[in-house]
Amino acid sequence: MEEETNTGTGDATSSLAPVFVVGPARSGTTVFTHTLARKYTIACVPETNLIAVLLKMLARSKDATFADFEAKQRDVLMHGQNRPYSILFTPEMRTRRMRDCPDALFEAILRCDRYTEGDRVIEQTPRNGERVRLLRWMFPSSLVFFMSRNPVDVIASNRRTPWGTRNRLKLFLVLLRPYFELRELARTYGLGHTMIVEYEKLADVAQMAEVFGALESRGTTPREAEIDIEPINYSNNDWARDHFRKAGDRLSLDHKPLGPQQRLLRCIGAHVQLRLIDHVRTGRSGPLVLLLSAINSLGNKAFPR
Amino acid sequence: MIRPSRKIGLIGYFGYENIGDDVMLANMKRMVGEENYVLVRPNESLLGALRKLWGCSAIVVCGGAVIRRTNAAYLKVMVAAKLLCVKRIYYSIEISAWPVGRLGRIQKFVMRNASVFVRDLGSFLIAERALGVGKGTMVVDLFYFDDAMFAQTAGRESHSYGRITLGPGDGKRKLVVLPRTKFNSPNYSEQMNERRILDAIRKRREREIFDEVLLSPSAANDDVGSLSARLHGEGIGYVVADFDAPIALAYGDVVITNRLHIFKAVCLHDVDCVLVSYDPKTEWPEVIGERGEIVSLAGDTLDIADVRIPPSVLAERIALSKKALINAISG
Repeated sequence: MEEETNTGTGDATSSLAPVFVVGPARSGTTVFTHTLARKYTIACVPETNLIAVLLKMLARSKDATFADFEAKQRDVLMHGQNRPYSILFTPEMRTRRMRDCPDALFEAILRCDRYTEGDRVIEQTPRNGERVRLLRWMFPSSLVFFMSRNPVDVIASNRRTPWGTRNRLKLFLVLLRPYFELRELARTYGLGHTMIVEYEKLADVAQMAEVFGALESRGTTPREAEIDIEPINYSNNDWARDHFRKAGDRLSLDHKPLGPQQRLLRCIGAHVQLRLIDHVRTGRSGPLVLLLSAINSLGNKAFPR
Repeated sequence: MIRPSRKIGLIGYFGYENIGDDVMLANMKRMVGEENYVLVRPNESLLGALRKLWGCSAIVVCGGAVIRRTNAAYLKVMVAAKLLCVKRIYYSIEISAWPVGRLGRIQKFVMRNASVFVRDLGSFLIAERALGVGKGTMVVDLFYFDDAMFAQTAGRESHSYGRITLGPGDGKRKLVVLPRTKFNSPNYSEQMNERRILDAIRKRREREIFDEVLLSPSAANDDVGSLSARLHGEGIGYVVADFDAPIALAYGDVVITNRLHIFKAVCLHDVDCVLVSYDPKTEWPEVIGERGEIVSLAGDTLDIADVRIPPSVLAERIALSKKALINAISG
């Protein structure tokens, strides 16, 4: 895990600077977010697609205001499931244009009854991993955690979900995108305020100490006592509750012993994961990374966002 | 400073009294070094461009509204760069609309695999639609990198941007009008622009008393004859300054202009200013300042407080932008 020293002169401890948890879907973004939300006074708002909706609205009308966003909120937050909260803006904010102050979105979330004890928002939408450069631009002081997991496990987990595709090739192509986008972030703006968190090391004391240190250095307050985070947004998702409880002890729900083929695949997956992380951090491109980069380019054409 | 192994080509409207382009060039020169750049003219022929770019490792398009619906600036030069496999960097550009037809296809061809840095979210979204997701990167206008521009008004020093000097002033309260009277765009109409500027002048004169109304072309090819006739018709006394005459603006005078970078410069130095928008590119200004108004194309008036970026956020973005440009040129 690494974090570059940011050379900007901005206020890195702004209490409103959100925290983003991004990465390929099924990389442990939810369990990681809940781990942080248990320990720190952060408002945990999972998978809202706020950024995607904001950009979509701005693409239609550059002068879209927060009043327009409020009206669209049902589309933003519902996703066909019941959400116990809604985002409300002050009368003054409603007339502001979204493009001028996007951080007002997170300010408004903190005013919701549900989140009044949070001093910043942690926004966990895995797909934001495909837009990390824009996130860095819109919220320069925000902290971004990029979740990285063994690609074989990511694909297997996606195939197990009722809403995902079962196409392994498509899943692999879509999995690569966030890594190369993160590499582009490193190449353009650098990796300041950005951390790569390995799912396999979620129980690792050293890794989590760095994560907690990064949060605390930005003024995030630890709770007096850890709390339970109910995954009530995933009302039909018992796996989430179970997964969260196991996060401290075990890193996979898959308790069955792995066969030789599966072990081999996981080894290859772990190697790919390490090469991708190394490429992101250092820019080193061996034959494997070049091949993956070519596959990523083809994937972007075949399955555009 | 970047030390390129070969020279860097710079292209833009330098020396045309366009503050934005000239200031960007000044910053670029400082970044790459005086000996390490080659200036390429915007209207360079294909052969001329090939000759100039032969010894270049990269070419940087220095900002501005280079891509519009009916126009894609510097296309011949960028095609030459693509043929020579010279790194193409579009820095701090504005895209108000993607060109249609063949022009759009050629523009896509030259921009594929180029580093595209845009200066506003609108341009970013258009670039994304045209070139694909992940092809655009946001940066600030290099205008802000010039140290002199960050000098605070508390010192009351003088600063010059082209022929405009901002300083303590001579005690007379002036209303300075710097219109843009020529612009090649289907959305632009000279009569409509004049009407909007006159509205802005009237509103300001209702609010306060001026010792002098100074009307001046903002660029060499501007013609303020029609606007001055209308001012005369309304009984508003004014003085017309020649384009070559330097204009001194005091902190506290009021400026009405179409020009984005004049607006930025004067706001930065705490001069009250009204930006009368004439093109989508002027609708997304990045600006620092306490006083100012923007009259949008739709006719709404926005206060600068509604649009300005918080200084801490802007400072972070400047650091990110500088890093992005250095990485693009040397990477």
